[in-house]
Amino acid sequence: MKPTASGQLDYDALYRAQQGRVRSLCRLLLADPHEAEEVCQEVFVKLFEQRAAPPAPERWLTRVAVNACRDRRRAGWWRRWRERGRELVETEHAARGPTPEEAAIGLEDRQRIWRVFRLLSARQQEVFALRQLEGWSTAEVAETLGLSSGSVKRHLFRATHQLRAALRGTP
Amino acid sequence: MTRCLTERTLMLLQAGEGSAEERAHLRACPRCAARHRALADDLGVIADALRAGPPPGATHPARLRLRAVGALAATVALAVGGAWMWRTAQVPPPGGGGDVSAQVEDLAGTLFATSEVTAAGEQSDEAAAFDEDDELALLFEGP
Repeated sequence: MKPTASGQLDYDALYRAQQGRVRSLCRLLLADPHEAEEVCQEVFVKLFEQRAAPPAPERWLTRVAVNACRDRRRAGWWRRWRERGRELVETEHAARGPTPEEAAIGLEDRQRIWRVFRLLSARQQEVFALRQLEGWSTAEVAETLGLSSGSVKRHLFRATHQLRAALRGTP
Repeated sequence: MTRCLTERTLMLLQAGEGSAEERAHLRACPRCAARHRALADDLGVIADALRAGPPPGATHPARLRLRAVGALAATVALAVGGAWMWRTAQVPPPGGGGDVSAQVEDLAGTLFATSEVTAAGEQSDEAAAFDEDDELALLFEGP
């Protein structure tokens, strides 16, 4: 998303284009969909509050979203523990029809993958999401998360190993 | 490179890294190439599953919490049980308290007896000396 000819960022267009991706990322890193939605909104509010548009808004959004999710996990674990004990929080996903990806992947496989993903450490989740889903390079992930590239590779390897084991039904 | 690639190396190659030698091996070795394709396929399925969002029943916060509470309760029960057993081992059984008292009395008696003997010994020496003086006095002075 490039700035317009006047040098201003088209926030509406950026919001429309990136909101779904940022929400999915937050949904991946936070167990609670409502909290993910809140964080997603916070991220865009932060973007709008920027005096100067960031040079690469998509990457900026991703970086801020990952940091905001991490802050949420650190700050509110006790609150979520107390308040978020709902048995099933994915009702909105269950209500709509399956996407082509969902139809291609069996429900049991998806459940296993998600269950194992939730059991990964926060770092492993972040590294896997940025590296495999967002397509960032190892160096970019390392810089954003404040890790060495060796640590990123290690987290990625462990996450991949566990998720593949889940996919094959041998966790 | 003649040895087949490790899973870690395959993953690095899939991520666009790895050395030229490892890439050459990947091109030459059908077995590693098949493993590499399987890894790529698996990662594609995993990425699709994660992008699609959590399916119903994938995450059960309440169940996880229940499991954690259960583990906590078991830990507390173990701690309480251990403390109770330790306390039971420390307190003497009913009727056994007399033995301890008797032992304490014996010990005290031994300690006091020693000091009494010592004191008695000192006293007897003084008494003996006094008696000898008296007898000498009686000899010189007469009855």
